[in-house]
Amino acid sequence: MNLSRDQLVDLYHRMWLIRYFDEAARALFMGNMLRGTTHTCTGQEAVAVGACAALRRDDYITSTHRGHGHCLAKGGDPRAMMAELLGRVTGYCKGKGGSMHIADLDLGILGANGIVGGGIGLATGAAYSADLRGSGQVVVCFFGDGASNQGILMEAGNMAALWQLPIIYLCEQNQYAEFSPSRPFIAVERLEMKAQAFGMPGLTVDGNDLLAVYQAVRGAVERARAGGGPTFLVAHTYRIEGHTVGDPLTYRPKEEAALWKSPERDPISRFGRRLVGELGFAEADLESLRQKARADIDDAIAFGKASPEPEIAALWEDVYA
Amino acid sequence: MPTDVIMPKLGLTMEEGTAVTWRLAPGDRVAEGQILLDIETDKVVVEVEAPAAGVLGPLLVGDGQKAPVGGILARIYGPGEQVAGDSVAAPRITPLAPGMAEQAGVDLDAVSVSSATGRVTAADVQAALGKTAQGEGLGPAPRPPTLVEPRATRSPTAPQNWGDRGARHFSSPRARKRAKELGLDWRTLTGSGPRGRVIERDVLVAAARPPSIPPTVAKPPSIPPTRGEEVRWEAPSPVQRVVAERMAASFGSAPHFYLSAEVRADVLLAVHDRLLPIVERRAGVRLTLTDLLVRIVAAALAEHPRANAFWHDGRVGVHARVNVGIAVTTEAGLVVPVLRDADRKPLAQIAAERSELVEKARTGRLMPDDLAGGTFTLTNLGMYRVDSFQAILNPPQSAILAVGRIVERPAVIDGGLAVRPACVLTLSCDHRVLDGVSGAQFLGRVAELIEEPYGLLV
Amino acid sequence: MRELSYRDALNEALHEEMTRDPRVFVLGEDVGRYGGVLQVTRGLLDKFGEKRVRDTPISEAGIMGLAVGAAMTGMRPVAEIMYIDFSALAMDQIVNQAAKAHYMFGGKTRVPLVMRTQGGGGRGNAAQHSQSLEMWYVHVPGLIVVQPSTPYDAKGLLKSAIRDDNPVIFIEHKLLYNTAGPVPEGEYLIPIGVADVKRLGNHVTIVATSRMVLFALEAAETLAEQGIQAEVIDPRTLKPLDLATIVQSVEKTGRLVVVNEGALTGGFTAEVAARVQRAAFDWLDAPIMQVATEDVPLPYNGRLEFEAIPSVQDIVLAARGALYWNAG
Repeated sequence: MNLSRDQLVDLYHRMWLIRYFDEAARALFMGNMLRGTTHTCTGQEAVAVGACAALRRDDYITSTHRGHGHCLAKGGDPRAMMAELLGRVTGYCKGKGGSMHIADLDLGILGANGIVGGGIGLATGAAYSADLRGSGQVVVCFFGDGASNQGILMEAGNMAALWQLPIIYLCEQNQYAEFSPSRPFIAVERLEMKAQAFGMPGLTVDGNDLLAVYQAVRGAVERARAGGGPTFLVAHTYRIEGHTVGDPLTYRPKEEAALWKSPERDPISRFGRRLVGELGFAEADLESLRQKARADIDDAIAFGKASPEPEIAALWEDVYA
Repeated sequence: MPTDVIMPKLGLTMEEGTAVTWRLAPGDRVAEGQILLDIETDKVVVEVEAPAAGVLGPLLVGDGQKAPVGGILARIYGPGEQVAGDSVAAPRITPLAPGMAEQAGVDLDAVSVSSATGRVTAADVQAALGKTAQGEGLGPAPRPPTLVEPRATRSPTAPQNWGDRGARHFSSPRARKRAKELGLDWRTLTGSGPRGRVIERDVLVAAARPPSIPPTVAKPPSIPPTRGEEVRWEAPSPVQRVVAERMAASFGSAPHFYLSAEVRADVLLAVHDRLLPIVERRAGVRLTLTDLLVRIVAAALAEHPRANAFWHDGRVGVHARVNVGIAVTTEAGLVVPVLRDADRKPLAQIAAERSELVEKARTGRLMPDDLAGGTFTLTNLGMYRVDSFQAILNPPQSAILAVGRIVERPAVIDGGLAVRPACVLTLSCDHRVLDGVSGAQFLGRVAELIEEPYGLLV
Repeated sequence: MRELSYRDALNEALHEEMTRDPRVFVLGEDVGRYGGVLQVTRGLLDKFGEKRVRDTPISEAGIMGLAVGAAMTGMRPVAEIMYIDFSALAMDQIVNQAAKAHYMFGGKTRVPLVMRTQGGGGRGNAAQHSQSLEMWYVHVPGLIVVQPSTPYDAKGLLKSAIRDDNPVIFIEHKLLYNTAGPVPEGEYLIPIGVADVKRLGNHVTIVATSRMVLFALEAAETLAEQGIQAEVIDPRTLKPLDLATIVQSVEKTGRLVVVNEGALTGGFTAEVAARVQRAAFDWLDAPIMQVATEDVPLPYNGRLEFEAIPSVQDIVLAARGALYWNAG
């Protein structure tokens, strides 16, 4: 373990930040404050936070439609994110992207993506770019088990392996692909077996164990940075909410989500127990971190709501650079 | 090899022809022998048949364009043949010029040629038109109002039929804008585009006309029928159209005057009766009074060349030969086949040739040569209940003789009243060629020979 | 002035731009060792090495995806898609990723990539290698679409495309690579979004793109023999379209023929016609004529393909039609 106490505190706070952000997003959506659709990553916080903990600030990530967690984990500003969800001019995309299209190039966030698997190609391009420039940057490409069936993964994975690009294809196996369980749509027994076809190492990790995710990603990142090439990493986790807010979840038993929400499986509870049990943190400190996260999100909502909507003129701005 | 559709040489004198109306469009399927287009020579409109089956290629000579005899009008492509980028033989008058000249009332022959090629160009016509067009190009002249849509509207659903020119009056936006600028009411103009659409050129031409002839006054035919009045519109046959245009042009340009004389016809009728069996035996045809009149007129013309002449470009042209045209009405319209050298032919030959020409005219088999080269026209309505009439000159001829019916008329002979057959001759003259006296001298000679046909023997 | 082929002009542009800017790199199928299926990228591998001249697997989506990511992170990729038909495989990368990133992410991301590809028919390549799909891309906001018709334009526009901060769809024509034309020595750029009047005339305006520009110029010669002076305009950039140059010409001539090798329905000719009638309605003296490819997949057989694609004579007839000259 080479994470400092401050870092561990930050990771714990960040997990709560994600949890509360998505709970707020859900509430705002149901309160008719958000347009379009919103996807939450509740229950998957350990994958985002654990992976990004292993990255430098200038390393890249590509995210997905379920991307609030990735963005916050990489250092994203909850205020700018919430303002974006609320369609305000202070949002990350000046209100023109919304929940599915948050990017922050300064933090290496190459964008959430509304297309399932949409980030896979460009993540590979970012890795090619890093290699060309000799920058030492590494890319983590987040995608889900549903996206693992997209053809672009086959093409990009092959290229990354061919040219030994510094990239980690991080598949969050949350067990659902939109409005269906993913298992019936995946032919191989285990997803990491796909790595064999690409010619890169395929690893698997408990995605609800933050430190395990961190260790696995860190190993892959170090290898990539040293010129060892790409890694295919499958993190097992669970999507506690539906595909979108408002999903009736008719395709799975209620007890299943209840099981994964339980403290035994919930990633935040599990990390908290390790902080207290193995690393000597005080319960009260963790509680104050949780409350701080809640306050941060309340502040973000207030900021967003207080921000102006874009002027009509913005419609025609930024179509071309 | 694609098969060429050429401008046919329809007679020895024919040098060029005009494609009047294409019946088919490029890309259309063509059966051998199908009528492709109407062509007009200086006298007649003739249908041109497809020389082969296939697909009609691009029109190399469009509606209203002239082509020399033997010039390629279009090509018919058989199976396996690609439509190539056909090009057009350079005409002596550029295609822009005639339509523009016609629309603007400019005589093409009077236009001075500026280009080195010696061709009359649109620019020349425009120069002749004068300054009123305010330095704006008139643009090329439009062709008759049928439009080959390019492939964009070649699909079967595309509207191909312009339909009837109904009550609506069409115009292009550009024409309306230009009319407004020039202070004209476009609705008063005649459109030369499809469906009578008024296009910019129509406006510019109208604006370029001398103000003394306001365009609005010059077109009574465009006054629409009053509401509720039922009108059936008939398209003229090609021949009717040509006649209409020629007669209007003739009446508008040649200063007509008329001379009449009543002549006794008793001797003529008697001579006719005597000669009838002789001619029948010799030529196998029935001698008519027209034959006699042709012979008499021809003899008079030989003696009075001024009546066998024409006006052109400020000068009088006098024909060396005497070719008498005979007006014949057919189902398709009025045609004037020509009896050549009538002053030198025996009566039996005149009767035989006249008979053949009339038969051809009635059955629509006249060839351009049959119609070309007339120097004078005889028109005889004697078989109808017409006593006398005034004919319109057949341009560019300077005289035409109209003959009414022969009926018993009272006549004063030696101070006493007698009844005898007579008829009225009316000579129409182009005053630029014939004055009253020369016209009278010619008519007098004709009258003399009708009254005393034996004079022909002298 | 020296003459260069369209191919060599493009090759020269790539050499110059890669020398000038180390961020520029090319990638695509067979672009390296083989020099490109059309030999546009030959000589680059030896000069710039395999990382900047990347031979890729046959993976169009991967190629374009890689180009998008590299462009977003500071590089200036020039991706070659062998035939524009194959770009259908990469549509998500081009349409959903490249075209959208700048706007969707609030103007903070730039995607300065060039997709070089070739379109058009006339060579018997049949339905999947002959299409003119430029309008697919014209329809997508955020993309720039360029179609040069001459070697001079090809070089100057490719250099401008590489330097542009937006994704540029650069569409060459398979039957233009061997055409030659004057190309000056040394550096020059042709601005994107500026049309070129290829021939002056007063009677009718012909707007044509790509190889159809050559056809239109030939048609103009034929028309001139008939006494019609056609003005031929090559937009060069289909998007953004230099409408002002077209409208200016139509105000002069009052008549417009639009020629494009794409299929008629929903095509470039309709787009230009719609815009011109709005901008220059009062100047039009005749309906706008469209000359485009038949609404059919392009056939292999030569007769059929020739029939499907606009010909010089089609343009001549359309121009005459715009002048009310044809019979029917």
